[in-house]
Amino acid sequence: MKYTVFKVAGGSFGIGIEGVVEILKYREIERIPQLPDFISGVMNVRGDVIPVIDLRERFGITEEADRRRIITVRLEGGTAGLIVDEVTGIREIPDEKISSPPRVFNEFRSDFMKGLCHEQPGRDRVTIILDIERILSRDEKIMLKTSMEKLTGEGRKRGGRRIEKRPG
Amino acid sequence: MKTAMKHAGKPHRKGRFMKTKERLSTTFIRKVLVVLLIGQSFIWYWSFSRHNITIDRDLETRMQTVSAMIRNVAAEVDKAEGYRHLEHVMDGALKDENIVYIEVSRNSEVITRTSQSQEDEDLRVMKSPILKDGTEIGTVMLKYRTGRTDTAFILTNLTLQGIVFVVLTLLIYLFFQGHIGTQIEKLSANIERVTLGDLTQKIETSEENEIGIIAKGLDFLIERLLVTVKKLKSVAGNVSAAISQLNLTFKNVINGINHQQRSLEEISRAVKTASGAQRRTMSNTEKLLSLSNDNVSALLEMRAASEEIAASISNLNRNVSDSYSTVAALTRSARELASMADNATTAVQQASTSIEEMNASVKEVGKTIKGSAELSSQTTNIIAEKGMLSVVDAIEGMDRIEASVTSLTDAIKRLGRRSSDIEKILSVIKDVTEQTGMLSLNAQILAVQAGEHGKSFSVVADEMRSLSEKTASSTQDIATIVSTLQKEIREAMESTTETVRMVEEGNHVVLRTGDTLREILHASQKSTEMAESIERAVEQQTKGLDQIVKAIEHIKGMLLDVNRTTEEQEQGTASLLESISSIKEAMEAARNATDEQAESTRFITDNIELANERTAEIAKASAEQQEVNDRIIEAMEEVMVIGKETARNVKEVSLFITSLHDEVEVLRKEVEMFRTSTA
Repeated sequence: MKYTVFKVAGGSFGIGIEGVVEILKYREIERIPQLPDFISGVMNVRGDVIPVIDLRERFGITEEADRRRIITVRLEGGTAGLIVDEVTGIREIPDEKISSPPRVFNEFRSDFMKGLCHEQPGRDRVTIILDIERILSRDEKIMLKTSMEKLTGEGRKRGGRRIEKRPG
Repeated sequence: MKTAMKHAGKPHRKGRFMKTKERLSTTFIRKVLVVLLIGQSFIWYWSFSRHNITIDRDLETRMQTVSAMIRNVAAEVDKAEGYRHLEHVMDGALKDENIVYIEVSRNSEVITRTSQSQEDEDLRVMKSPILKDGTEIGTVMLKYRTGRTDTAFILTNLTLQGIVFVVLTLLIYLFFQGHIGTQIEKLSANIERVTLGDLTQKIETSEENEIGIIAKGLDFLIERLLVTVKKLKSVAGNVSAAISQLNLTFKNVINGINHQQRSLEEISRAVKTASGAQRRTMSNTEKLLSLSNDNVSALLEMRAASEEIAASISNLNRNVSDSYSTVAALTRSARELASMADNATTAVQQASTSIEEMNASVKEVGKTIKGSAELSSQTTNIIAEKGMLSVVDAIEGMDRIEASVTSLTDAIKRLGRRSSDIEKILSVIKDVTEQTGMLSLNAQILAVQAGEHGKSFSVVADEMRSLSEKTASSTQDIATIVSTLQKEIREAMESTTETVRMVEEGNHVVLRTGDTLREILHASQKSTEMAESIERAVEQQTKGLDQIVKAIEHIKGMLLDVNRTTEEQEQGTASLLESISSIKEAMEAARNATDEQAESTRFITDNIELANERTAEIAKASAEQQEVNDRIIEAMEEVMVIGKETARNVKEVSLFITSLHDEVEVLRKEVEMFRTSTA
């Protein structure tokens, strides 16, 4: 199976390629006050307003760093952006190389994880395979849905989720 | 394509690229056809087996019908007609080509019917009881063979399947070639052109699918690349021109320095010539001094002789006065007088010899002085004409060097600005590379999500990724070259600053040389003046000596007279008294002449002492001048060393610039490989 591999705070993570829409250059996101805490803001991707989740914040890392990419993924029937430090590439990882995760690994909660991939046995370098569906809890998913509907409600009334592109 | 970027100039890459493309489309079509074939085979197999099952079921139903019919007949049989009817029914049943063997047993009576061929077949057996009023009274056994494969059905089916396969193949081929194939071909042809360095082509597709997006992305990339390469071209051209100008300027600088070096060598030669002349003057002056000392000793000798003469003459005078009183002692006195006169003559002769010697010495002094004056004026001329001219040349040369170095510094500064332009362009290229990388990642994602159909697309995505990696590494290379360039420019600037300092130092030294030369000129002129004044003094001295010679001749004449008179006295005392008064007069005259001579001698001595003093002054001035000369020579050597160092530095800078030029040329050639205009 193929994975999109990226880095957050020095750690290597992978998400299944079938859930990925595209990789975007990092841009400033719009911070909107009424959104729940786990959503950092929204961004406009070719006319679609999508919520953006900062994986550093999500993993509880407060230290600031140079974030360079946004991966947009399919989430709850819509699209959401994940802010990451860097996209390493697309990699084929056979299923037999993926082992089930311990309960806590390197301060990351195991409920985000689908498995661990040891690149070379005996080394510390490990790619954590993330489960996109589990990045948000059920309540959070509902909050996300309602927030986005609220945000794009006006746009929907005018016809779908498309809104006018801002110049520039 | 992976390596095509690197070897864009080589034509044989084109063939390999085309092969890759053909393989791509044929592989795709072949795979689709294989899938189709498998599907059709499956369908064919399925329909065939369905067909067989239907036939078997039909057969079984028929057999049961036959069996039931026979059972019904057999159940009612009870007499011979009945058996015949049963046999008749069984014969009728055997007409069915599938039934091979029929056996009816009833109440232990067995009736058997068999068709001709029955051994070889794989036969099925059907046994069923004959029931009458609920009790079994016998059995019916049927042996029958299963139906043969219907060849007509198979042929029809296969033909139909073949036609469908061919039609589908044609449709797929047409669809792929006419739609996706053409577009991919367009894309790959464009990528190939870009690979060969032609950036002027555009794909210009109106498709809105993934290939359209890639084509647009490619167009965008090529456009950005084109702009960048154009900028690079112009910048590389500018930098190259600037460096050529720099090279030219450096050649001027080197010419100026060589010119300066030649001027300095000329000055050095002139100063050395002047120094040699000075040395000759000094040795002449020393000779003059020793001659003057000789003169002084001769004069002192002469003075002693003169004083002796004066004393003798006084004595003579006294004796002559005594003659008046004692005539008797006259003879003795006369003899004494004669001997004294002889003495005087000898003394006068000696004085005369000394005077001649002195005259000769004085003339020699005059000659030497003349020579010295000539040398002095020669030195003055050399310094005034050649020396000062060389200094002026050197100053001009230094000015030219200064101008060249200034323009050099300007050129290097311009170069520095150009290299920061290149840095700006590099950042644009880095942007584009990043964009390409992301584009390739997205293309890979799309390719994977498209599944089997996306395989061909993933090849394109992979090519894009390798293109972006290549661009990134090229950008890194260019960045390295640019940073090397900037380092070298900085070094060149430092060297230029050093050169400017050297040139200033050189200027300073040249100005100091000019001052020193003026000092020499001044000293030389003073020396010439002194030599002339000595010459005048010697002339005066010569005149005084002539007077002395005249006076001595006079004394000689007088003494001869005395001698003659003394001889006459010996002949007769009588005439003595008469003569004695004239002797007295002569004595007076002689004493006057002697006094005069003594005075002249003193005058000469004074003059010679004066001359000596002057000569000593000349010697001192010469020594001073020599010292100045030595200082000049030292300064000249310093100038030469600095000049050589400057030349070495300038050459070093020139080497830097040449290597810089080479590197910029490499850069320019690399950029030239891209075709950026349609012309």
